[in-house]
Amino acid sequence: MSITDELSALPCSLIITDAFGKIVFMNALARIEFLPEQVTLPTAIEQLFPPAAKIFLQTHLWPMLRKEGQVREYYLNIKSKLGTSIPILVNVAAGVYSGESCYRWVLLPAYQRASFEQELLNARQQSLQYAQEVSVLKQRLQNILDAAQDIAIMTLDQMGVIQFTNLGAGKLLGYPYNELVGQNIEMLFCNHQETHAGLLRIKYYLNAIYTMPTAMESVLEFESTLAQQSGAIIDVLLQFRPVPGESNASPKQILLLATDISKRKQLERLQNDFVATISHEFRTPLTAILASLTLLSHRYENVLEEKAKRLVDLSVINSQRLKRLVNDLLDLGDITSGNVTINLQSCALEQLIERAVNEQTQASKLKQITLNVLMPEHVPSVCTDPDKFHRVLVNLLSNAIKFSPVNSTVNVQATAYASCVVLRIEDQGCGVKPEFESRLFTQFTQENNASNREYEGSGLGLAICKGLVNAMGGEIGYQSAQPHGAIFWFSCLRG
Amino acid sequence: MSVLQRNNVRVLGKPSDPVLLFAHGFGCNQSMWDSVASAFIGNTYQILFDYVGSGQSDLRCYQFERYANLQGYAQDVIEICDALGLERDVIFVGHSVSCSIGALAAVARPNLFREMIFLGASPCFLNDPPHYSGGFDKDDLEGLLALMNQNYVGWAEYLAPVVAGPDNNPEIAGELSNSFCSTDPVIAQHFARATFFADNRDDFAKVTVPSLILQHQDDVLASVAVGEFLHKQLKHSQLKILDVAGHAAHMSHPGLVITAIQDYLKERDIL
Repeated sequence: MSITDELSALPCSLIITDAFGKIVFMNALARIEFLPEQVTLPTAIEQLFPPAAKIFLQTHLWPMLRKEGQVREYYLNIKSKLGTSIPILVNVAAGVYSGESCYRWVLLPAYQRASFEQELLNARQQSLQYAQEVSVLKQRLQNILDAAQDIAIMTLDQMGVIQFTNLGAGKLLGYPYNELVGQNIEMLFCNHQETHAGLLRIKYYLNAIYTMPTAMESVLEFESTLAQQSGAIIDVLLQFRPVPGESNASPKQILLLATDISKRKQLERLQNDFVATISHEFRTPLTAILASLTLLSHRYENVLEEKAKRLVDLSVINSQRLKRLVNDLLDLGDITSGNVTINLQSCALEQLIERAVNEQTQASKLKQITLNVLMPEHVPSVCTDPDKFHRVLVNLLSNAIKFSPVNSTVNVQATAYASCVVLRIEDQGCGVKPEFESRLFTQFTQENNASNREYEGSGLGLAICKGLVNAMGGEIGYQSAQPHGAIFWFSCLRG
Repeated sequence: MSVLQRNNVRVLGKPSDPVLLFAHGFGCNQSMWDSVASAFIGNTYQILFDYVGSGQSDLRCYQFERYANLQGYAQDVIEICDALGLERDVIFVGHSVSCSIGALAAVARPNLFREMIFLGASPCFLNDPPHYSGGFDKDDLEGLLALMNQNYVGWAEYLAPVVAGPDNNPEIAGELSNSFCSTDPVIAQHFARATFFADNRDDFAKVTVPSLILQHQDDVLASVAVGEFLHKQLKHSQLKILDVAGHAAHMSHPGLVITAIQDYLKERDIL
C-alpha cells in the first residue's frame, strides 16, 4: 500500500498543499466533502473557503504558518459541496510530500464545537454587557448616595463591620474616603458609659436581626456621640435598619444612617441646664414650704379649724406633687446629659419583680386590681442596675394600675430570649390612641388634658423610663393589648 | 511612556544610511518583515515597530477614539519618525493596511518621506459598484470579525483555564494562548474595523511622494486590478506585479520582494 493510499484511507479530511498553498493532494474524505465536481486539481486551497475565511487565512493563518511552521485548532468556515458554508477546525503542519516542502491540512467538522463556542461567546458578551450595566448603575447609585453629603450612609455586616460608606460618612466622621470600610462600628464609639450602652444596643440589635426572622422590620434609632478621626466628639442621630439580601443565599446587611445633630444638642443642653438650674432653685424654697405645711398639718392639727385644716392638707398634697415633678425634672436632666451612674450587675429577675410588685400591692388593692406575675420555666438572671430596674418597673406598674378600670387584672410577664429578657406589663385599660404612640416616651406628654385631670402625673415618667432602659443597653416600647388595654415592654440583657 | 517604547520600535544600522521604515499589516507584527529587512542590513538604517495594539506594543496606550480610523495609526508613524529625529528622506515600506496608513502619513507630512513602497495595497476592501471592486461585501467583512472573535487570544485565554481544569497549570494555559496571535481581541476587532471598512481611495490621489506598488499576481485581498487603480491614483508611481499567490510575499517569497525593492532603490539612486 502506497503512502497516498494510506492517506486516502484516513478517517478525517486531509489536504496537502505546496509551500504556497496550491493543493497537491486531497484524500478521499476531503474530496467527497469539499472538492466541487467541476474543479480539478491543482488549485489554491483558499478557493475552498468563503470570503471571510479567505481574509482570515491571508491575514492570520498564513503569517503564523510561515512564522511557526504549524497552526492548531483554528476555527474557520469552509464551502461544502452543496454550496453552503460549514464550520471546521483547521490544523496545519509543515512537512515533506513527494520530496518537496508541503503543508498538511487536517480539517475536522466542528458543528458541535461551533454552536457550543457561539453559545459561550454570546454568554460572554451578554455577561460583559451586564457587567457594564451593573457598573454604570453602581456608579449612579454611588453618585446619588454621595450627593447626600449631610447624612452618613453606611452598611454593616453581622459583626458590625462597615461594608460601604458614602461621601457624607467620611465628611461627618472626618475620615478619608473609603477608609472606614473594613472597620468595626465600635471604633467610632468613644469610651464612656453613655456610648457603651449604645454599643450594647447595637450588638443586641444585630444579634436579633440575624437570628430572629420577625426582627426584619424593626428599626433601632437613638442619639449618641461618635468620635471623629481627629478625636473630636460629635452628636449624631443613629438609625439602623435591616436591608434584605439580593437573594436568599446572600446575607442581609444593616443600613446605618447617621445625622449630625450637634446644633440641636447644643440648644438642648442649654435648655436642660436652664431647667436643671430652675429646678434646683425651686427645690430649696419648696422643701421649706413643704416642711412648714407638714408641720402645720401635724402639730397644729387640733388647733386649726376644720376648713383651714382641709386647705393645709390640700397644700401639702400639691406641694408633694410639685416636689415629685421637680425631682423628676432633675432626674431626666441627669439622664439626658449622661450624668446618671449605671451599675450593671447580675441580678435575680424573680426578686426584682417581687420587690416592685410588693410596692404596688397597696395601690392595686384600692382598685381591686389583681397583679398577676407570669415567669418562664427557667428564670434567667439579668444584667441590670437593680435600683434603676426597680424604678422603671414600678413606674410602668403604677401607670398600669392608674389607667386600669376597677376590678381588672394587670399581668407582668417575663420572656427569656437568647441574649435578653423582655418584661411585658399588660393592663385592661383604655390603651393608647395610635396617633399618640409615637410621642409616648417623650417629655411632658400625656394623652389629653382630660386625662391630666383624671390621672395625676408629671408626664415625665415614660421619658425617664426610656432614658434608664437605654442607658442599661435595653429597649422600651408599647403595643396595644387585645381586645383593649396597653402593653408596655422593656428588655434587659441576660446576666 | 515614550513613543519608542509605546510602539516597540527597533532600530538597526547607521542613521546616515538610507532610512527604511517597515510597517506591518493587519493581524501581524514587525517580525513579519524579518526576512526582507535582514537583506538590507549593512547599507540602510532600518526602523521596525508594532502599531499600538499589535505585537509587543504597550496596550495601555491604546485609545479607542484615536485608533477608530487609520489616521490614528498614521499619527503613530509620524510620531515614531519625530521621536527618532527624522525630518526627511524616509523610505516607507508598508504591507497591506500599512499602505493606506503610509499614504495618510505622506499626505500629512509629504516632506518626511522620499519614497513609498506599497506591498499588497488596497485603498478600500469593500466593493463600490459599478466602478470599484475591492473584493468584499460588508457581510464578508462582518464574517471575518466573527471568525476573529472565535479564534483570538483573549478567547483562548478565556477558555484556557476551562480547558486546563481547575488546578490549571499556567504552562498549559500559556501554551494554548501562545498558539494564537498575541493580540487583545477587543483591540484586534477595533483595528479590523478601522482596516476593512476604510476607504482611502482619495487619499492616495493626494500623495506626491514617488512610490512603488508591489502587487501579488493572485491575491484575494488586494487584486492586480486594485493595484492598477492605485497606480492611476498615485502621481509618481510604478506598478510591479509579483508572480505570487497570496497576500504576503515578504514572508512567502522574500527574495522577490527584496529584489524588487533593491532594483527600485537603485533606479532611484538611493542604493
